[in-house]
Amino acid sequence: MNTQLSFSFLLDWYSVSLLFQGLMMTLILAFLAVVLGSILALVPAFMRLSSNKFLSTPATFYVEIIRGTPMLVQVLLIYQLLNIPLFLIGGMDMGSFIPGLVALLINSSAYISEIIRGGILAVDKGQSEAARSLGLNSKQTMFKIVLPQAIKNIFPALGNEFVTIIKETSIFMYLGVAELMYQVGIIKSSSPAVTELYIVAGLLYLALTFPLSKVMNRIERRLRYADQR
Amino acid sequence: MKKLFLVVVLSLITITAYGCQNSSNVFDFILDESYDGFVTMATSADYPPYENIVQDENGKNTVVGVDIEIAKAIAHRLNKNLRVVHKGFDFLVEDVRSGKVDFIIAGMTPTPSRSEIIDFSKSYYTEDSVVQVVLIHKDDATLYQSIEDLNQSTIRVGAQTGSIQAEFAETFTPLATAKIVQDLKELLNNLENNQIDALFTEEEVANTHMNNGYENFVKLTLPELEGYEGNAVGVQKGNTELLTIINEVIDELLADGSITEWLEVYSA
Repeated sequence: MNTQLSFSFLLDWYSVSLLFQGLMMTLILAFLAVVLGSILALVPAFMRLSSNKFLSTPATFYVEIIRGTPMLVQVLLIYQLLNIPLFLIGGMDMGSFIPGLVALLINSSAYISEIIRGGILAVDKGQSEAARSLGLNSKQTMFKIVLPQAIKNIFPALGNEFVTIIKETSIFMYLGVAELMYQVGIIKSSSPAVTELYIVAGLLYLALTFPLSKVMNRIERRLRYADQR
Repeated sequence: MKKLFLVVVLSLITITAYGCQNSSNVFDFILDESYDGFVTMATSADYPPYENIVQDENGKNTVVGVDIEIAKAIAHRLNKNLRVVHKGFDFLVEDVRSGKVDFIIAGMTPTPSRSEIIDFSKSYYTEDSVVQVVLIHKDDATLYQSIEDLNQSTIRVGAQTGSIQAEFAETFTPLATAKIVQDLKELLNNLENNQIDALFTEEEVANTHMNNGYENFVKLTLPELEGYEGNAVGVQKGNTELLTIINEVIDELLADGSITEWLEVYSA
């Protein structure tokens, strides 16, 4: 271990700007993955909740496969399977950005679908029974009674997923998507301060994830307000 | 609290706006205005003096190095501009196989398994120009005076994944424990921190790093090894037309000494 750490690269505007751009890209990727992933996740979530075997079995397979394999394997496989030719949008190489984003979406949608399913199942059965006995049909029960309560369970867990995704985007450095670790790689190749760079990268990830989980806690408390008696 | 948040957001936006040009892994070189279109090259730009990302005079990222100069020469011959794509080393072979890019120059050694997937040009670094070395810590210089001294079970040696040096580590120090990782910077740092005792690399690469922050290392030169094929340009299988042109360019560059010259310039 180096006894002396030198953070002099932080005085260099160029390195700092690279790090911040990387941070923004990480945030954008994670945001896209969580927002689009949540929408996509509704499909396997409701498929798994369905009593129809032909709907629930494939969804179970999908979720189990995605959750049971490493993100790196998924990214590499999807990169090979999609095989998008190199073209540029805003100077960015879409041939690696799109497969990366697709892999991230597939991954996050599997995790989020479990969050949604868990959230729905956690709503007390008495609620839907009461709704049905009051004459609401199953669709109305789901959208008017169960889902609004489920969102309370889903939301905090979704925040955790956002935090996880922020950390997982670091895989994209291999694809050449200019997120935080990619920029760290660039600075690293011309600076001997490797240990220091990793420390800074870690702190930058923390600077994204820590406030986020604080905000989520706050929202969670507010949502719990109705439960207090 | 709100104000602080606003300040943070605003400064982030400014910083992003300032340098959005640097969030790309694609680097275009307009070699001549009259040239039509681009020829695309893939590389893994973390390997100075061969390819490395640096800041140009406008504060933008650009990629420089010996391999980039060779690529420019090839592009000139094809009457095209050069587009360089920077990616992880593992993706390069796949990219050229699927035709995403036209060729790879990334200090890549034509191994038999790679040659099954893509075709390689002749070597652009001849044995005279590339000397293989082992880097050791200055303090250990008296302890390890030759490569034989490193062939002990207590020694840990390092080399890059998939590199010819990883094979050298196997050949020269079979008794030692080998640490094979992708990232050269990681290895250099390990050596600096005494996590490994010796690092197999090539001389120009060693020089570049010793000139740029790693003063505590000394080099041991390796004896020449039979069958070493040097580094070559990779093209899609069956693309003999491009391969012929690349081979011609390499012949010329070797003959007029350009490559040796570039090696000196970029390892300074």
